[in-house]
Amino acid sequence: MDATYQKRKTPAALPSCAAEADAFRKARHRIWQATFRQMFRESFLRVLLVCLLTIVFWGVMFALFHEGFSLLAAAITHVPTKARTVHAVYNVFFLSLLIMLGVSSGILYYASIYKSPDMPMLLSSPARASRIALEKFFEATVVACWGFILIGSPLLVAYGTVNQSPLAYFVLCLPLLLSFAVIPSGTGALCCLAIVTLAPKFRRTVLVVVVAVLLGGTIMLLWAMFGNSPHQAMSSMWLQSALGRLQLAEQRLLPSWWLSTGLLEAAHGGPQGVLQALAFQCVLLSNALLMPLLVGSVGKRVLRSSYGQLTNCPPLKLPWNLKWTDQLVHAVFWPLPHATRLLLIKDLRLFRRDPLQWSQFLLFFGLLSFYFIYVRRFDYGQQLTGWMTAIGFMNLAVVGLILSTFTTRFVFPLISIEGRRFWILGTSPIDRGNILWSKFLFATLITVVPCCVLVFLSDVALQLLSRTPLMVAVHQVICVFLSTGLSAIAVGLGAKLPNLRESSPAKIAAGFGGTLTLILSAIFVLGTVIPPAFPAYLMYAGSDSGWLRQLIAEAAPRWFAIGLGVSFVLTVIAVYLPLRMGFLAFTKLEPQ
Amino acid sequence: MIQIKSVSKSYGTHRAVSSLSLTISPGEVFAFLGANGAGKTTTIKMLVGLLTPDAGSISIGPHDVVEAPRDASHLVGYVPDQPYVYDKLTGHEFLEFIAQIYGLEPRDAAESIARQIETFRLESFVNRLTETYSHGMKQRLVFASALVHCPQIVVLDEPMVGLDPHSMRIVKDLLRREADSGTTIFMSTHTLPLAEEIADRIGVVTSGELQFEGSVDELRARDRQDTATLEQLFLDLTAIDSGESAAE
Repeated sequence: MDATYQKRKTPAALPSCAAEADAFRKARHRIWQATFRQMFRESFLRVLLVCLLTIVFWGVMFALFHEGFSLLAAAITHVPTKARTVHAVYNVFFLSLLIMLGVSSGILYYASIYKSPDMPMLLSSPARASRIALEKFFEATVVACWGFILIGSPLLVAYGTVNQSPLAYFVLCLPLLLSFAVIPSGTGALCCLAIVTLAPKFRRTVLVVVVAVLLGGTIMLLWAMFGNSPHQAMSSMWLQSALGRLQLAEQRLLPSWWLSTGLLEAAHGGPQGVLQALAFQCVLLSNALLMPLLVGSVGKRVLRSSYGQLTNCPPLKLPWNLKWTDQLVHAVFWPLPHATRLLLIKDLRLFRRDPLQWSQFLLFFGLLSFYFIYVRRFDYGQQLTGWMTAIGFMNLAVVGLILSTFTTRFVFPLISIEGRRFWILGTSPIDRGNILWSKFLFATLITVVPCCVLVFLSDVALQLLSRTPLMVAVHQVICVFLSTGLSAIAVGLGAKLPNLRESSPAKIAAGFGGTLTLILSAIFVLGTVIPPAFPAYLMYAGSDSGWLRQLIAEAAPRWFAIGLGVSFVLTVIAVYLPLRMGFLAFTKLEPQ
Repeated sequence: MIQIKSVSKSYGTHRAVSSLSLTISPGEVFAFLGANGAGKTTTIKMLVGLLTPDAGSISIGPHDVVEAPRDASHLVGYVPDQPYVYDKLTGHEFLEFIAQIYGLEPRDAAESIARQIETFRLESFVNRLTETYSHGMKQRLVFASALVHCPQIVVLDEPMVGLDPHSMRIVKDLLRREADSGTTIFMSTHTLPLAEEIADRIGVVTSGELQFEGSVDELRARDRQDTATLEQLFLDLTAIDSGESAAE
């Protein structure tokens, strides 16, 4: 054996903690650099759209908060009550974010540790378990926190602007927010490690219980605030009563209280207040710095064993036997070719067995249902039919826009994913047209029912059913237009612009085709809702007063009919063109 | 040297590995054979520290895998059955990362990386993002990363999957050369001609239990089939364990 080889066979010393951290930092930096470079090169349109939408979102949030704080400043002249109100609002807002950040960080941490494909490679290397736990914690924190900063920053800036707070307040906002965000993120990560270590078999049950308790708590809180108050909503008595109930969120041991108090001290307290705010910053920062230490220390003890324990768990069984739904599809769609029905059933099975798809669907539509039910709590005057009609159409547009994100994220990639498994369908005796028809039917089927139900719920909440049943019927028709059109756009463009190299639906949706689908879908939704919405508003608002309005109101029914016709024509175009393009492209598609 | 002493592992009620004992000496190529679900991958995962044995112990060199996982894995180069490389790193950057976490000094790392690039003929694509690689290219990169720190023990799980004939030849020659220079090679494979060609000893496992341990010639002698191929011998030995199970 030669000397050089003998020298090579002597193992190098294990790397120091700093060298190991440096290796991970360098790799992470390179991964981000490559990701951003690629994003700008290959999905510039999407990046531009995301940036623009983020700016618009931030601006809208800022305007809303600014308006809200201005209203508060004008409505509550009693200074102590105003201070108490703002403190209560801050406490509730940051307590909600504290809980949401904790849960989302825990879930993200679980995914990045126990479901990540790089873990076997890392755990079989001499990298310290504490380092791996810390790196994953860092990843989860960054992903979980950017949304928090996006929502929190317009609130703080708006408050500072309305109250003409000193510069120190604006300077302290970001450090306070960042220090705060690390605390729930670390708590979520620690809870995740604890649950997987102590109860690996019941991890899903624990998560479901936690989410159910949180949702129940939120609903109870909102109900307590607005539900059974003896006073009229938004009256001063109601405010006093609500403030009393909101004191529940004012717990001095919670980081949300440290943050809200620190911020308000910086905003109002003068030089002394700034010092107080700095003290709260130190409290938050010291707790934030403790989190990585705790995560690293716990990770060192339990990461390897918990990873092994999770692997030991038997695979989860299919939770419910839903074979009857397959039979139902066969029965309902009996006129369709047998092959189309089989493809439809296959897609429905994949949908119900993919928690990501149905949970996102449930989350969006659950929140919207909650909002629509909640809208009912307010007492609307009889003279506001015009506004109610406008809000009804606005809700319809919101449902349509959310539906468009769903069809882009989950329906658009269907063909690309099918393309990767094209050897199954491509070599079977199924007409390619049938495949595309089945996708279109599937998408329409799963979107039309919740869309109609939600919009009906909104109309009932807005008392449109008793005021103008015609509008309720029109909304239902437009719902069918929206579901059909959005499904056709997603399926057609999915077949025209497939990405056969990518296996992740999220990445497929994030490409050029997905972005184009999202933009066209948004244009379609607005183009379908606005033409009948505007004359409908005038039709009902116009009868209140003024000869000009009266004149408009007389012409409005005709405009309304034309607007509805425009919606119909647009839907026909949105169905025909993308599907035709998709059919042509799909028949020529070759497996890769 | 690898020492596996009375190791058992269960998944729920399913016993994946049962009282397995093996010793593989330095310079030896050991091929671990068995049907799907026989317990090969479970054994390998315990060997590299991804799973903890329910009973028994595993030592890599002087280190117990459970007691001193870092020291043990420091001596091992592992090629998994499903290779993972970071999509957004180039092959070269990935090798650098691996060299760093194994503690190689920058100069040694650069030398070793250059050697592996040459050995596995990665020059033409090593500076591209790994997301553009084919399965075979990724497999070659993972081989290079497993050997970049010059390990004393190499553990391979189905190493030939996805490799073209040229790469297979490179790997066979390399494994033999590594073993001749004192490296311990532990390899699980379904490619029986490979085992027959380069393994010094084989172990045949069925339903988590070791059925045979020794050289191919010893197996022939035991079964009195002097001219039989390893394939024939293996099929005879594992006739009752051809079903899949949850172990792998």
